[in-house]
Amino acid sequence: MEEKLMAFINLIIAERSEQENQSQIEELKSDFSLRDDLHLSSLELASLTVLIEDEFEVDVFEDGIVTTVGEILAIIKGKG
Amino acid sequence: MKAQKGELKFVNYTSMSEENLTEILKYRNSPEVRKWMLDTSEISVKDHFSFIDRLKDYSDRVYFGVYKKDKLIGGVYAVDIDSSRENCIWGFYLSPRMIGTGVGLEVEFEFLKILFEELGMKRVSGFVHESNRDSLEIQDLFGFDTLSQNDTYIKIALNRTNWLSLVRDYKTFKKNILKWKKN
Repeated sequence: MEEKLMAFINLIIAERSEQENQSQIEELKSDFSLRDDLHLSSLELASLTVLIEDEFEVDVFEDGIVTTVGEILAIIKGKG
Repeated sequence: MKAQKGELKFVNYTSMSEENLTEILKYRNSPEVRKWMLDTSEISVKDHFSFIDRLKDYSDRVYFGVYKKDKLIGGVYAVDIDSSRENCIWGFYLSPRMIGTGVGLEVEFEFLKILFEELGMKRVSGFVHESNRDSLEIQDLFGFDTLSQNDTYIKIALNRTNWLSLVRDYKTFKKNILKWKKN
């Protein structure tokens, strides 16, 4: 699950990196902030939720605010 | 007016509780929100409530609190509503806690739906701070055109034809973002 989430985030970063020189994430920590550490824009966050929803069939933002990697993982695990 | 749009509820300021109106002023006055506004000064509590008292007398502007799961998350507004020419200027802001959570995209989608499909606007315009890259990216996604620009703000507009070419519900719209980003 963590690997899949990291792959999704790296996919989004890769799309961004065509314009900005930004390296891929090699380790995903639970306390990573989606905004401050991963620098995901609103549009990128929306893209991430779509990828997660397609893979895990859960809308991570449905029930409230999600700001960290750990919160996403908790929602996916909770759904399972 | 109260409108349920997807998972969001829009409640006219004139129907909101004093507690929620005080809360929304805190959002508006927070540095994270004010820095993107045309008027970056703080609004006093007195001026805020005086303004809301007068709102019912105006037909050229509407202000709504936005609720998700019955929790206030921000405010949206349309001003300079010209009923004969069917255009207006719109904007929105979120609770500082909600900034960067992606919910702004949903708020914008559902409010544009109200403006075009319930209030019958043919064109909506807005202003975006030129360094607000997050917002500019979203306006591009919606198909807004740039009308003019000064050193600080970009004036943008979207017409109903372009709006109607988008999908009709937020969930499907969100799924199309990935395709849009690839193009």
